[in-house]
Amino acid sequence: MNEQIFEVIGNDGLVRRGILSLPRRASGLTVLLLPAGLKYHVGPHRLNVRLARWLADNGHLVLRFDPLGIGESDGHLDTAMTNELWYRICLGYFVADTLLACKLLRERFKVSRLILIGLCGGGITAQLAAAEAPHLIQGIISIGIAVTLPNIGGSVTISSNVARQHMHSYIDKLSSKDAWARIIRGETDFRNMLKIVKTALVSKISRSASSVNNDALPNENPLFIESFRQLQYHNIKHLLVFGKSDNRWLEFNTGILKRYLHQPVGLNYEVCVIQDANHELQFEPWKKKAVEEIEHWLAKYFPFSLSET
Amino acid sequence: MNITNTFITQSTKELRGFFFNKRGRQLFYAIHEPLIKRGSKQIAWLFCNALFEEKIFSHRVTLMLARRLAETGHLVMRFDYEGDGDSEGDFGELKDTDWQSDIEDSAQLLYRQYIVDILGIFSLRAGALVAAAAAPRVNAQKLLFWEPVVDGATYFQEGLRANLTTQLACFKKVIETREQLMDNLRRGGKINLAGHEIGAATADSLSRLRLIDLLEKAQVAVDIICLGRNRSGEFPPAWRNLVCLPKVALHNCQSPAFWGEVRMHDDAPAALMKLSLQLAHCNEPTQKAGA
Repeated sequence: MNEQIFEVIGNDGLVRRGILSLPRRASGLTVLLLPAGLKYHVGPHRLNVRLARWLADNGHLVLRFDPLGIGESDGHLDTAMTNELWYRICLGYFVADTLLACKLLRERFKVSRLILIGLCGGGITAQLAAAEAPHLIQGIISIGIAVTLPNIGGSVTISSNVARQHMHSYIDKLSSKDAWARIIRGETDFRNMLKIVKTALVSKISRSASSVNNDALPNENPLFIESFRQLQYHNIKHLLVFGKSDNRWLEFNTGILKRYLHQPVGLNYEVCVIQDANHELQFEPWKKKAVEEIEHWLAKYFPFSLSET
Repeated sequence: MNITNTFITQSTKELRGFFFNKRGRQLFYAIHEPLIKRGSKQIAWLFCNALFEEKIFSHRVTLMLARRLAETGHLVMRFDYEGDGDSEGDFGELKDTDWQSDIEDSAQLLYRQYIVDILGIFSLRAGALVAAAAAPRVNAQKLLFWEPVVDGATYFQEGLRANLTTQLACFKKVIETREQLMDNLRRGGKINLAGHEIGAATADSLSRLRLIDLLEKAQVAVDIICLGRNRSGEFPPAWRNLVCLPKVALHNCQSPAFWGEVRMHDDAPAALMKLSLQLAHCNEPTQKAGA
């Protein structure tokens, strides 16, 4: 293991930190791994550590990075509802720090090609950062990228398509002993269940009464499709990895893929869906599948060049 | 020791780097050094993390406690166990004695680099089980625990239950029952606890640890902060048994449980920080529960 502490001081005098994984032989590619939402640079169940070390073993320089207020970095985030902080992240709260890290990597290590990887909020941060500074970034890998904005205050909204998918799941579970046991043990989120049933029923009634477009997400991030198109325009390669059991996939599939993109592989993007997997790719086979997909995509678009550092 | 980065603020200095444990693996560490000394004796705190995903969730709050302690004159060292956080290795292959050995190595580093008059150990959740076991071996004179796990076996069973819940959510059914998971573990396979793959050695050693036994053996002054209890100050039976031990004091604190998903983000809960600092600055436990 060849790793170093990474620090960068911003104009505000505060230090952003991370961990650099150094390869034995440089491939010509540098990877910036972003935190998943509010989880720090280690990532959920050390996913970022594992990815970083695997990428470094394959010759890539990797930085696992904490923006201000996260992990080992200085500063602190406001005390606020978690949803509110996620909301800010989805609208670019960590983009400036991400670009600061990108610039410093380019200066310090004479990086020629840089890609960003992020799960959930890290995915949208990566996409927004690349759209803002396309000259700095050549590729994006997003895992379970967030296409909607979290609800802050007011009533919680859910897409009718997502609600319908959950309804099917509830119907399937009616014959499951485990599901009934969870209800008896009080482990079921009844508020959420009621919300889903209500949304699905309202959607069914309104669909039969009108021809309203049900693919529209009620809380779609207005920056999502705009920044996605920027990446396409600037020839920035984008791999989108989703777990099939993840709500993020349901939202992306109905609100973005079917509505705007129409096909899983298109201009500068590829969508990969891992069967059964959840949002954070918790089980081992899902992680392995994600790594395989990333390896395949890197080999296709960022072949080994030995040209760096 | 390989100190790679230092950062100085008005009242503290932070150093981060990696050092090697006895097994030759690189461990991440951070030292929060006070620039203003408090009192005549140097009190140092060794932070022992929570385990598994609870470590990831609680990282920021423990870091903020480290900063607050350093600002008030205490020396703090944080580190990641082998296979955890930023350290080298695979957690799933290790057992409690390996984690205890990492605590010893970290304490040795502190003793070598600084004059330490009093060593305290801070820990939380399942990390407290490991810390309590290691305390006598590093001459710790005081322990401060946040919501420690009192029984490793129960904690492990809760992890198994979460595994089944995830299966149900993702596969719409349980594809591997609790018994099948345990069989797999006994045959040399691994089991997934909140995303972390662990082997039989880890599971067995964790399941053997009971806080009351470990504290009885340690004979060290312990302050235990219980979070989010009702205002009447009632502790569950498993906790009440702990105060039968001569040097244990329980304290209530109205603060959210931040080692899992939380609705409200607060990286330095005021009540918890205040109580922890008060207790850290006392030489002995301040109050017996129910006294």
